[in-house]
Amino acid sequence: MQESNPLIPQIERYLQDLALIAAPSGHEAGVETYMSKVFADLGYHPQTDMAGNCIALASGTSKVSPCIMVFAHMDSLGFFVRHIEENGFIRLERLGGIPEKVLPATRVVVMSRRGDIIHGVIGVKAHHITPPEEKYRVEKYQQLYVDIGASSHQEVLDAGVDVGCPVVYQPSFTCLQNNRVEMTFSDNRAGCATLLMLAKMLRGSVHESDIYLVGTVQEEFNLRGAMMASRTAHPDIGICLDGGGSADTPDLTGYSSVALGGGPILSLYNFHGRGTLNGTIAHPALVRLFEHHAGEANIPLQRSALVGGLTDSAYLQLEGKGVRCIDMGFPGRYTHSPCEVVDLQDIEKLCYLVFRVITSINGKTDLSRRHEEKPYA
Amino acid sequence: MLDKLDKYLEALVLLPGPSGHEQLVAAFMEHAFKQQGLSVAMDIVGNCIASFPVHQVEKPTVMVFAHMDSLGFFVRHIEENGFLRLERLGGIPEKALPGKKVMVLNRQGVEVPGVVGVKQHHLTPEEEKYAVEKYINLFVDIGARSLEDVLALGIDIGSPVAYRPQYQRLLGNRRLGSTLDNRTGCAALLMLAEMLRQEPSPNNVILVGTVWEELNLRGAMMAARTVQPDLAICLDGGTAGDTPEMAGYNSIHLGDGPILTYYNFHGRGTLNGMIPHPGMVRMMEQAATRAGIAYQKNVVVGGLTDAAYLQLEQDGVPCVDVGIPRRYTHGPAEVADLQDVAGLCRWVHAALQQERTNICLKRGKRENAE
Repeated sequence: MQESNPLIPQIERYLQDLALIAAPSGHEAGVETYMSKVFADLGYHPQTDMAGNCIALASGTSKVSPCIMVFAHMDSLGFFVRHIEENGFIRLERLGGIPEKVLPATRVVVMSRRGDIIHGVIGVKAHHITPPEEKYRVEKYQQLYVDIGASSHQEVLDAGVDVGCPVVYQPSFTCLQNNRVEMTFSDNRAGCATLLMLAKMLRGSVHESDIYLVGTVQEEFNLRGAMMASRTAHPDIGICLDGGGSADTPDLTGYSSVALGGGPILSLYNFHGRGTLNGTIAHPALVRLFEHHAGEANIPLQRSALVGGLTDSAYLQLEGKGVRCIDMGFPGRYTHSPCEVVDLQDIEKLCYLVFRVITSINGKTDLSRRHEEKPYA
Repeated sequence: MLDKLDKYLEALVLLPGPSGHEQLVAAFMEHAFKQQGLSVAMDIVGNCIASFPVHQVEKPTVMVFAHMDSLGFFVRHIEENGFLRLERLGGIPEKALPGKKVMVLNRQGVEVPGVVGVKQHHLTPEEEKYAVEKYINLFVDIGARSLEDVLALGIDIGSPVAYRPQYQRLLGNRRLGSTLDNRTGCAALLMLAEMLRQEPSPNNVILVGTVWEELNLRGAMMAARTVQPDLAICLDGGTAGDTPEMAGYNSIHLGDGPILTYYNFHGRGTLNGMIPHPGMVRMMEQAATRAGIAYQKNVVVGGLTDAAYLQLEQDGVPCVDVGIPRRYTHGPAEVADLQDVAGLCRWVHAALQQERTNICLKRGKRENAE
């Protein structure tokens, strides 16, 4: 198995390390430190910008080749401590799109003011005394609470926990069958693992473009980390690495054709549709490039066009005179729950594909918006 | 003028151009602009930016723009048996979809016709007769028998889909069309190019066909990164309140002239809209008086234009939204009156004749108010 998937062992190591770090939006330092160290060990000189983005540069050989920024967000969703009850229970405020139905009886960790990890669990009413009408009702997160074992407000404070402390799912990583893993935060530690893998692959390779590899912040909060990183990188091209939901489980049949193990995902269109009024229609030149290289390298490509989510590229594309963007990803199940499932083979193929594309772009690459085989005018 | 507008509008309406795939409309606009002697540049996002040959450095730049894109769909999924599932692009009125003609744009930009299926009436149970299907549950039939059939046509997930282009002359000057929103604005831009060639403006006028309005309303904002306007005029539309189901909503009637919008706000979580700069409002009001143009006044929550984002560029760009009344908006058969489009052209042309020094941009009480 290992010979046909040479990158998987390293991808798995990066992924496991990253899955086990608590780093919600605004508190990405744990992941940023890890990624900076990997970049540095590989010979890069990573820098961290004012927003907390982790930026490494693989310099190209040409001054006229377009500048490329490949990025993945380091932060996960989570919660903040909103209120501490007198009897020691903790009330939460949500950070990002939390699926409330997974929360009852879910293990969490609180990040204390001192940087300690404090374990806890989200309570659920004892089954035996739950009345019938409550059995099938999903509680809103405001009604839930976290039990860290404290019996008083003071005990909570003494543990270093106060209003404003971040909370995330208990980090975990478990191997399933067939190169699949169940983990916290595959969204988007799998993107970060891809970035680190690319950093490794780029060492000793020759390419014309300057390639910025960026771990971005605050995606789950306001999707503007990559936009801020571009104030340093000034890219012509932005390639976002993030996950896409797969529709190969019984509850999603017919929704889309994205499946685990089907290969990397190319997003043609995404739009939030929740009042944000933003999304990304992939730049046609980048679509052509990815399709071409996927074909040449025999890498299967899954396509998606979906309303319900968006990425940092929606805001990055609006920087300066415009940044040409595309969202590339890997299929994932049970997104935003504590048990997301991804297939390491999809991530490996994504690494190969992105590597091919970014190392092939040069000063002559056609970046126009023309339809295929049809000249502009 | 009505004849010319009719021809421009028909040509524009019959060209497909959902957001992100405006190339064919942009190419048409570019060609038409060039015929009037303008030079044209396309920016990175696809905006079509046309300027007159002489740029007067000391004069202000006025950007007049209209969005080239229409709303539509993307192919979300293809069934094994050849039916297409859709994802929406923009504000689609689901109740207008069943049984409508559409077209899919394949890789080469060629239009493939299809129809949005609807359950046979004879087999529709009572409770479904009055239920509106969500677009997620609808499908498009292009006559394919399999997924392979569809792929062989150059159609795949992500292919754009739009109402099948149609243009029909109704009574008088009324016209029915898919995408009157906002090909009427584009037609007005082309007419303005002709009018400005005959009678130039003392200002630098840049005419822009913008992209992405139905997606995220930021095409004009991106064009401004190149154009760097001092002032901007957005040409779009307003909802006519003259049909039976709209009674009392507003007093905007087809045929009563172009519209000046005094306030718009989206109100759907976007947290944006525009209260136009009073100096721009005055400019349009005064131009209407001078040129004898009757216009209608509009205020609306539920919609916004690119001006909402353009106004936030640079140190702030004074903007105004003007347009024409339209009925049945965002459906496949919108209706408008060519007289209103002609009025819009004359009005904007008259406004552009004003020297910048005569356009007062003070916000407060003025001593010598007109």
